[in-house]
Amino acid sequence: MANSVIEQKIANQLSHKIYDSKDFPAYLPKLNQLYDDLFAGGKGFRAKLIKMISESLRLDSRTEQLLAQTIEFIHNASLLHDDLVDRSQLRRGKPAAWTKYTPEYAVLAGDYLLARVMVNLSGYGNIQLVQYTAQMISDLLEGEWLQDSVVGDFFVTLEQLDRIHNLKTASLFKWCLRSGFIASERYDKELHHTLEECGTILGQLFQRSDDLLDYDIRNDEGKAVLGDLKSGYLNSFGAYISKGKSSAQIDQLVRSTTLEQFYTAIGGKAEFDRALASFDEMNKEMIQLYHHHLDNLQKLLPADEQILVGKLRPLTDLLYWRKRPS
Amino acid sequence: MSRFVTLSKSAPEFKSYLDGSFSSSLVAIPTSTLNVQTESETVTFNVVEQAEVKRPSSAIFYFKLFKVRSFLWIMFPMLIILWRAKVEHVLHDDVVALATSLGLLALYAGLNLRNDHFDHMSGLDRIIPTAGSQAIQKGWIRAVEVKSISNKFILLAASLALPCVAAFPMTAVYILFAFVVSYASHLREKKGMNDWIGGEIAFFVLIGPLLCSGYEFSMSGMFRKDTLFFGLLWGWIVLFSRHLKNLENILIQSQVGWKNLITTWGFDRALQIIRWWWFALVIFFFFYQHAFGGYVWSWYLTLGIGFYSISFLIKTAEAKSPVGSKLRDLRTRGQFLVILVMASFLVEHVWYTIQSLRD
Repeated sequence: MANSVIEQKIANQLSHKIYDSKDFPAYLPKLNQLYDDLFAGGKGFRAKLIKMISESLRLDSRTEQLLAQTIEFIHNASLLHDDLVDRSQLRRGKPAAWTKYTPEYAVLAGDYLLARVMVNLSGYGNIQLVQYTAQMISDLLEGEWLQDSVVGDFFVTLEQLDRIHNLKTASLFKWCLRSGFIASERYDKELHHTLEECGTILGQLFQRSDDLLDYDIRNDEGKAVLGDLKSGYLNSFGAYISKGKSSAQIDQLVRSTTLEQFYTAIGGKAEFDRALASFDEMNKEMIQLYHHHLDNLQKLLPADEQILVGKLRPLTDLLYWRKRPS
Repeated sequence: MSRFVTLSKSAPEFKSYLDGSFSSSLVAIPTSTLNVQTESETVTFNVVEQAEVKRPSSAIFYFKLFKVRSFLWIMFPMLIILWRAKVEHVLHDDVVALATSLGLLALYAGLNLRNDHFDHMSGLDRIIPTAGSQAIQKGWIRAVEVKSISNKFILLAASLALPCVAAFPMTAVYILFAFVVSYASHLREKKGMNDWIGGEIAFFVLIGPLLCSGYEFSMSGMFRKDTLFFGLLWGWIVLFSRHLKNLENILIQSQVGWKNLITTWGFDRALQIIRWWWFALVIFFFFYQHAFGGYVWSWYLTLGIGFYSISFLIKTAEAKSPVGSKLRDLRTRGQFLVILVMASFLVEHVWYTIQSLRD
């Protein structure tokens, strides 16, 4: 469940700074210092996605800034809470906020970011955007709640985890794709359905790729292996590979502390590789579906906005295969 | 070859893609979606050659299509009632009994298939993967074909009802009552019987007392109290199993806005309802056996069922999440208890049959 560092692969800088200490009261002790630590480490992938959409829709800079800040505030608020819920010691290679400051400050700082989001959005004046953002936060929290409820359950299925990830992870990606259109007061149902399906797939692929890092698959950034398993959480690839295994086999899997032990428990490296190939194949089909939805999106957009489709196409390579953008 | 086609409900070819009538050589398999609000408006189909669809063996195909395991819900009470009627020599004649039995089975098969067709056309099987028989979802058979088969079975059931009505005209009242209950709960509301409390009540009536009393009446012309109470008990057992399944799917059902007993009360209270429902069932079973089965049977059977209920109750306490494996375990354990109750009835009936043969 560690935060993916895939954001590091994105070279482009944001045109606006997401966090400014002037946005938060200086009289609250440690608050700005906490946010300095929090926002300094991230690369703002979701904000980059907002920038991509905003440029294609030619949104004004104020709107782009608002949307980028909103998604990064929400995402980072969830990280603050997540680290405390999971009792994670590190975040982006540094001590997590709740360990460096206090658990109380971590919780309140997260809440404050969410409150700030509501203040900023309500000031913008688009009630549909406020409502959709509130719904997204609600989905995110539901996903977090549900994920916490399955810690320690090593018989959870991939289908069940997909539902959790759709709430916890994909909801933010869907928001990134749809918010620009909502901010422009464009509410076409078919358009938003297509964007929603694209967002779901991107979120699922992102999560599954992140989960593969736990098994040292395409792990360029050197994330610690079997971290999720050691935390008592069977992630998506873990659920996939353990499907149909007996209780004794799953018990052996769960006790693995090294990859070699995990391979042995699963039936050997060859079996592991076979399962990985099958998992990749399944996700390739999802990528094909994503491209189909992008083809539909192309038909729904006016000619001067279709450049967006070209920008969205390579995202699956980036998010799932972890290929650097050319 | 496979390709994706996305159609909105307003598209003229939408219905033909959905029910499979758009082509004789291609199959359009709707892709599932995790976005519950949008599925009803637009569907993405994976269009493949019919020859590319991997269909299982005929045995497995028909087993899945007709949901053969679900026939247990009507075959067990039918077996018990027929058994009793035969042992007690109250059957009108074997032809009527056979017609009634086959008619009920045909009706059940037809309605099951019609329900799958409904789930598919309404989009339910794209959100709840376990809805339906899977046969349509996997492209083994087109929805339009399922509807056609369903119509044939319902017509067969209607034909087989004729000798029963001829033998006992009052059977028509039972049939009419069943139709009214079905119409009020399903057809008029355009809802499944599982997605609102009214539907669950109707299901209880149909699969419980109406099935049991109606079945016996159509074969013997008799309306007996013990059969009615058996029907009430049976309906309670079937709903217990249904509540367990609904609990396992509480997340998805809540997301799509279903208002059955489980989703209305929510996860925590639903677990309590399940416990109390089972507890009430055991009490009901005891008093039923006490009244109609005998003093000894009531105590021995109830104590046996009570003993095995302990692990089930422990499992309800272990369930902490609306997703995950614990609810699956709970349902499996609950199904075991239902099988145990059924086995109890069978053992009792074997005993009494032997006793009556000796007499």
